[in-house]
Amino acid sequence: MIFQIQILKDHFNMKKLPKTYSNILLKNGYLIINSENYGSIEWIKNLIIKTIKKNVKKFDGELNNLHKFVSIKKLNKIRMSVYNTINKNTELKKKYFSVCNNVIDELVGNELAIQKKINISFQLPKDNSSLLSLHSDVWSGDSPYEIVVWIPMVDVYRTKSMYILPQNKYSKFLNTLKKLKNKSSNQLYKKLKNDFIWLNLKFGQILIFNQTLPHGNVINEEKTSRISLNCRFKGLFTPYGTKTLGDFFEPFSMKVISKIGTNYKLPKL
Amino acid sequence: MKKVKGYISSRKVFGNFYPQKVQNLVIRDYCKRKKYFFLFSSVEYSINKSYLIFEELLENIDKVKGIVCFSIFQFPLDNKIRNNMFNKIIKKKKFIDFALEEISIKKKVDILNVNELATIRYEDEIKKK
Repeated sequence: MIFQIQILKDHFNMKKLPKTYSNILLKNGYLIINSENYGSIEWIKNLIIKTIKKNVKKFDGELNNLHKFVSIKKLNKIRMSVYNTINKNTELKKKYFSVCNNVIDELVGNELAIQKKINISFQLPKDNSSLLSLHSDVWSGDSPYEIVVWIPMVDVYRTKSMYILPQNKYSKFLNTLKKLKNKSSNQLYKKLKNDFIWLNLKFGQILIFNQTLPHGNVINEEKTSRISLNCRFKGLFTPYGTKTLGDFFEPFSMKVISKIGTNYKLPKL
Repeated sequence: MKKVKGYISSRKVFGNFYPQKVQNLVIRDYCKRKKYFFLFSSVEYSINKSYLIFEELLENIDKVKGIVCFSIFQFPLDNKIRNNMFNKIIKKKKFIDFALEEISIKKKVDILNVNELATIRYEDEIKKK
């Protein structure tokens, strides 16, 4: 992490930075882009709606209204069913990647590993059963060599969205963490509440963020439901955390010379 | 059905690494046999000596009947520190179970039994080294 801060310091010393995706990510820790392929994002949304309809017969097809048709008690059962069904669709990962292909190429590279199963979150208004409190993915088994692509299926804002600590507040966060080491993560959140940024996105926009930065969500206090997907991408040959290639990740794209290299064995005498 | 919250680790548990998927399977199976209604597990930060997520569970313990942890060995080796953590649960008339060891703490005397088990196991590990 010290190394990362050093990179940023070096970076900010440069007078004028070209507005590349990489520079925005380094400076802010996240970027919001318009989908590179609107058709794909519509395809994903339709797949989710179709799958929910199979589980919830009366569902009207409007994801914002999901809370009107699903009780919080049955929510996880339905979420798991939708999660398993959509992940059986072999097109899903290709469509997912196509919404941010060029950005991933610039930020991560073109030999990629992808999460084996794309996560889906349902945040119904007032539901406190599926919260993800303040965390960094790296603190729970992911490696710092990964990027998260987060796609909301509805417009998201304020508590219907998620929050993230911007890069320039990270040093302050580390100091606060040291001071509050015997407290709870909730107390840590409260202490830094004003430093977090709530991310507002319209349907069709994509959030890409550095998962080493602390982030999370709170109870959705808005009137409508949030449905969002998240998936991690990383360089295929970069270090893995405890979520490894095979159990959590799978190869997504691999160049021919890497295939030759991984299959090559020195001759035996 | 008693509602319980899971608590798993992203650090090594007593020198062994257990994937989160496996920890959750053990907890889920335990809850099924105990007829508990299992809510999601909270994952402790991998930062060394962090119990920030456990402390958050304690803050919200009124929403559930108890906590089911993967193992007793997710907790500090020091008996005093561990006792303090478990006492907070008992004071609120809740319970804490450890799925791998299949033990439960509901009363003060249970903490003593758990400490005995933990001490023997620690000593055994030290001797092996």
